[in-house]
Parts: sequence; C-alpha cells; structure tokens
Amino acid sequence: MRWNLHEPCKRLYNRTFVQGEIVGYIGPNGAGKSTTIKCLTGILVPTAGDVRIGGFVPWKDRKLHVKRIGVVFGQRSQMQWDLPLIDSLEFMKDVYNIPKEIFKGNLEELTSTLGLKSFLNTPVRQLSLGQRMRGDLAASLLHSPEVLFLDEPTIGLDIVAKEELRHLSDLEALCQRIIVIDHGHVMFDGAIDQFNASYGGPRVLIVRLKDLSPVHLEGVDSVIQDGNQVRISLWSETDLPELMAQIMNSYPVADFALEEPSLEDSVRRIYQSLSKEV
Amino acid sequence: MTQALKFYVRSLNLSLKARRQYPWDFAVGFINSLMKQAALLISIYALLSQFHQLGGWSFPALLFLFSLRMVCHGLYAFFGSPLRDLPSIVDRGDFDRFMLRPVSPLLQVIGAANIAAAYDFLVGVGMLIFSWKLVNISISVANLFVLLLTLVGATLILFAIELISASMAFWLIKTGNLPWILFWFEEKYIIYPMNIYVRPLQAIMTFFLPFAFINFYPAAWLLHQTTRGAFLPAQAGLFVLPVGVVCITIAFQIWKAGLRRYRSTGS
Amino acid sequence: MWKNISGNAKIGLSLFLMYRMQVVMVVFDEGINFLVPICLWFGLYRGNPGLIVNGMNLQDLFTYTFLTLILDVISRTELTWILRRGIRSGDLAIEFLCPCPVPVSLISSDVGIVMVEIPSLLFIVLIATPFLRPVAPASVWSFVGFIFSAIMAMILKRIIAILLGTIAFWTLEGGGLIMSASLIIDVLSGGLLPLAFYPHAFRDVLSVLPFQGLVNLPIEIYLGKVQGNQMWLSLLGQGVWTLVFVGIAALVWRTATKRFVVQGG
Repeated sequence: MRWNLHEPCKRLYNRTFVQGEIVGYIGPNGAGKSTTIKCLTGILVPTAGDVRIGGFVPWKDRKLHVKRIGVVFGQRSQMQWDLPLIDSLEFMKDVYNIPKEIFKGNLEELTSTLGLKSFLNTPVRQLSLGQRMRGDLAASLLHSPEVLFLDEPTIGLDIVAKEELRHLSDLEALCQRIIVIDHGHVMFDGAIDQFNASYGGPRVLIVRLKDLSPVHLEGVDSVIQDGNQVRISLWSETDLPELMAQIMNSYPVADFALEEPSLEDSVRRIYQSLSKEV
Repeated sequence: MTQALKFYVRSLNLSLKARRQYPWDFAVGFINSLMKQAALLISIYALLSQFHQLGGWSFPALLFLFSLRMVCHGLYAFFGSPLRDLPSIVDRGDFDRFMLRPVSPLLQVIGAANIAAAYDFLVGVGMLIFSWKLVNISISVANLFVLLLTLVGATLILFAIELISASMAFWLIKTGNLPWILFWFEEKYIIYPMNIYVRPLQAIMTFFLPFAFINFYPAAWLLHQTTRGAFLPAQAGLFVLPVGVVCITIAFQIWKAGLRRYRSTGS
Repeated sequence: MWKNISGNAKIGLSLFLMYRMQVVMVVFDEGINFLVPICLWFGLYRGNPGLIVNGMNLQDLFTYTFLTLILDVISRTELTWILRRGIRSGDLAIEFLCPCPVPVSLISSDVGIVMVEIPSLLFIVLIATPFLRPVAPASVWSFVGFIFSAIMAMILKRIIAILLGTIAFWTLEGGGLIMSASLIIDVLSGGLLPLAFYPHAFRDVLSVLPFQGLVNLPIEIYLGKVQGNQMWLSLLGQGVWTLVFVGIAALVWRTATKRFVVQGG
C-alpha cells in the first residue's frame, strides 16, 4: 500500500507526512495494514488515537474527507461491470459533484496519461486486469483528490501487465519513503536505500571471465563460481572500485554486473528475522 | 438534499442503461410478470373453489386484495429491492466502496433500479382497476385518496421491513437469506385475506411485521369486506401511512446503529 | 499462558455465538416453511376438522407439508446462482476444460453440498416431526415408489436449476426471471398448494408437465393416492421427463458455450 500526499501534517504512529511525499507501507498479513487504511480513509472508527488529514478527522467528517481522497483497491474494482468504461468514469462526476469543465479537463488528462483511449468504450467485463486497474486509477483521480491511497495495486498482475502500468513504476522507483510495520509497531521509517542498506542482503558482483580460471578473493562474503560466471557476495564495507580493480588485474574479465539487494529481498529478510525471534 | 436526489436519479439511469444492453429484457420480463401473477391467481381461485370461502371475501375482492399487494410491492421494489442484496455485498467486502464516496451509503445501495418490479406494478395497476370495477364500489375521490395514502404507507412499511432485515448483515455474519426469506413469505402468503390465518400468525403480521397493513386492512375498508377473525376493524386500513412512518423511523435508527457497528469492527 | 487460554476462550465463544446464530437462522428459515402453511390449513379447515377436500384431510395436509419440507431440503441447490455468477464474471472458463455436454464438475460438487443441509434435516427430524405428526406411508410399495420419485425429483430440480442459471448467457435481467420462474415452478409442482386443490382442467394440464414430479407426485405416492400400476406408470413418466430435461440441458449448454466463447472477456 502506498499513498501520495499533498497535504502537510499527518501523523501516523506518531508519524507526520508532508505534501508531495510518496510513502510505501509494508507489512505482512495481519500486521494491520488494512485496518490502518480503513482508519485513514474514514471507514473504520478506531478505539483510540487520532488521525488528521488536512485538518479533517476521517471518520468524523466522512463526507468532507472522502471528497479529498482517492482510493484504489487492487482486488476490487469500482467500475460498473456491464457498461463501457466511459460510463463508469462519467458516473464519478455525479458521485463527487465535479463541475463539468474540471471533469472534462481531468478526464482528458487522465485518458492521455494512462492510455485509456483505446478501451474507453469497451464494457468493463471485457477488459484485462491491467486495463481495469488503469480505469480504477482514473476513476479515483477524477475529482482531483489531495491524497491518493493505493491498496495492493499490483497484486495479481503478471509481468506483462505490470509493464502496462509502467507509468506508475514499481515501489522501488516511486516511493521515496517506506514504512515497515509489524503488528502495530513501526519497524522502519525512512528511505529505501537506507532500508536496503540496513536490512538488505549483500550486493552481488557478477563477473564474467574470458576463461575458466579459478577465482580466489579475500575481503568478500562469498565467491560462487560456475564455469566462467562468478558471483561474489560483498560485505557492506567492501570497497567496490578497489575490488574491481583487483579482479581486473588478476583475472581476464569479460564484463561486470552489479546486483543491488531488491526491496523484496530486504523485506523478506526482515520478516524472517522477526519470525526467528518469536 | 437536491444533490442526493440528483445522484440517485443518475444512479438509476446508470443501472437502467446497463439493462438496456439486453433488448429482449422488456418483452420477456413483461410476459414473465404476467405468468407469475397468473400462477398466483390460479392458486387463490383454487382455494376459493374448494373451500367456498376465503375469510368471507368475494372473488373480485380477493382479486383486488391481490392486485393491491402487487401494486404496493412493485412500487416499493422498483426503488428499494437492492437492499435484499446488502448481506452479500457486505460479505464480499464491496460495502467499503460505498463508504468512500461522499454520498449516503444507503442511497448508493438502493441506487440500482429493479426493472422487473416495474412490470409487476403496471400489471398490478391494471388488475386493480379491473377488480375495483367488478366489486361495484364507487371510485370516489375519498377512496382514491385513501388508496394513495395506502400506496405511500405500504411502500414505507415494506421499505422498513427490508431495511431492518438487511441491516442484520452488520451484526450477523451469514444472514444472507433473511431479506429473501421475508420476501418469499410475503409473496406467497400475503395474497390471501389475513383473517384466514390462525390468530398467532395474524398477531405477527399485524403488530410485528405489519404486512397486514399493506393490503388486507386497506382493501377491507375500501371494499367493505369483513375483517371477522382479525385483530383490528377495517378502519385500520386508514392508518397505513402513520404505521409506515413509525416503521421507517424505527428502521432508520436500526440502520444507523448497524452502520456504527460496521465502522467499529470493520467487517 | 493466560493469553493462550483467554485467546482460545474468545475463539470458542465467538464460534458458539456464530453457531447459535446459524441455529436461529435454520430454525427461522425452516420454521416459516412449515408453520405458515399449517396456519393456512388450519384456517381453511377451521369449520370442519373432518373435512375431506379432493381426498385430502387435515392430517394428509400436515403430512404433505412435512414431505414438502423434506423434498425441498434435499433438492436445494445453489447451482443457479453459482452458474449465473460464473457466467457474468467469466470465471466459468474452467468448465470448458472438461469436454462434457453439461457442467459435470459443477453438478458433482453440488451433490456434496447436501451435507450442508444437515442442520435443516436435524431440525425437521427433531422439531417438525413431533409437531406435524406425519402419517406412515400407505404401504411398503408406496414407500419404495416414494423413494424412487424423490430421487428423480432431486435430479430434475438440479437440472432445472442449471437451465435457469444459463439464462445469464442471454440476459442481464435474469435475476427477476429466475425468481418468477422459481415461483411458477413452485406453484406447478404443488409446492405452494397441493395440486389436489386445483381445478380439474388445470390438473389435467399439469399431469403431462414434468413439474408435478418435483413435489406433488412423490407425496401422492407416499400417501397412497397413486397406487399399483398407476404408480409405476407415473414413475415411468417422471423418468422420461427427467431424461428429456437432461437432453435439453445438454443442448442449451452447448449452444450457450458457443456464444460465450465468442463473447470472450
């Protein structure tokens, strides 16, 4: 889940968010993610605690609050199943009472940005999952919300479909900040790079040799050689340029490649270490 | 308020448009409604011919009773019957989406029109007029006024009952069937004059689930039919509207309580 | 450790509450199905308890209601709505992996669902029986005939349910159509009123239709109203109709799947 904020001052678990922030919210099942999003959107009334989005309390000022947010659920579409996409989008005009001109402008912009033109007139039941997601995204942005919540937006999409959504990019590229939670506690709150550095697995240097000379190195985590491909796991302290120079001096190198720890990897590790503790 | 109305109208439009995708729906639906009513009418006729009397009502009066129920139910159902699906909407988790829009969730639930009900309404009106002519009671202005009040009141009563049974979805997990159970009960048994049922059932249908006010009492009053065996005199037929108002008020409170419950436990 | 205990206790309590709610729902659901008809019979026979109408006395009617309840429970099926939803959402694609004339896998999964009706059956045995005090079958052969007839009723009901579900291939308004069709079938099968009450002309028409095999025929066999050769003949008729319907269902399914595949999505 990630959200996109254009409002100053919002605290979560004593967190504050500022305008323009894009925050990713990560947690395993049962950690409280859906409860959180329900409180933030005003569906759920919490037993204790306070939330303010742009000065509004979501569950108290529901109608006012809901006009200023957009929500996309990855698993459920809000489109009218049997009708063309355009009908559902135009319905949003009536739902949110959007002035005609603004609606027209937003619709045009979203149609071009999200590439909806080719299937605007297709009944929603005939759309692919990726197309439906884009439609849902458009529907939740037509009323110019100030905060956008995306709940598991890429779930169920295969690689090809994810390509379709490349406008959104994936979590790593887009979110500047991530918050990792576990059962109501914040485990991490900061930039992705930092997260990977703190919790991530090692970086891996992949070397392709011109021949099959065995490779021995020191000052690295591990060396796995398979024919002329060598995978070298680095420690965080390892000086990469120095290492590369050392390798090039000692071995006939065809090329190098560097694998950064992926966010998925880091997340998996952090939860694995959690379950070990328990 | 006008905003809500505007939304509702657009919402109805949208669902009507969805149905227009299938052009034979109109003819098929109409024939279907006729067949259904024919089947029910034959049952009434059958009982009458075997037992020679149903509560002391004449056959034209029975016809009127039947069509009055059709008309009231058709009118109510056209606007309100999507409520019957609320338990499954909540079950599937689709109710959250209604909470995320700046419109009353109730309005959104009933926003899908039920075309089939319109056929029932139209056929019912036809039969109502026909049977009234048969009974030979004058169609005076006063009577028409009572009829109109009955229509409004009956719609409120039906809406209230449906709303309360649908609201149970907020407290119970698998109550999927309650609105449907009540619907089938009403469709199959409210077409007979209520005074043929045993007293305990009559008590329930008069004071607890006031189905009796939808057609029995108003018809009894309008057509001067007997209410022998029932709890209330025919004059009760004049009070359909107040009963409806009371019912709908209670129903709204229960609905709101249900919403509060939903929002504190989150499905 | 305390957390464990209280946690389990909470689970136990909510299970109990849920279970209790289920019981209430079953009682309510089935209760209406037999209490209301009884109120109707009482009301109609109020004048003379000894009255016999077209061969049905009050005790017969109670038994009729009792057996209607049983037949209803074993014939219950979600097939119509499962099929309908599957068609609307496109999930039905799985069915096409099987080169069968009818959605066999759907049917077979449905039969297992009879287990779900156990609470209702329990209710009938524990509460409805002492209340209604149904009479015993008229004879051993009557009982045998009843069993045969009931089994065919179960099958036929499901075939009809499938047919109703396939309406979704052709129309959006299906929901209302299905409900009306259900009601009409209810009337024609004797589920609303015993067919004995209907005028002769109507009954003659119904006797050539398959619907009476769903409720009225099995019960009349049980009560001994239809005996000996007449019984076997009726059972044969019921069997023929069942086969005919299987054929119709296969045909409809094949036509529908052609159109469905074309529509895509």
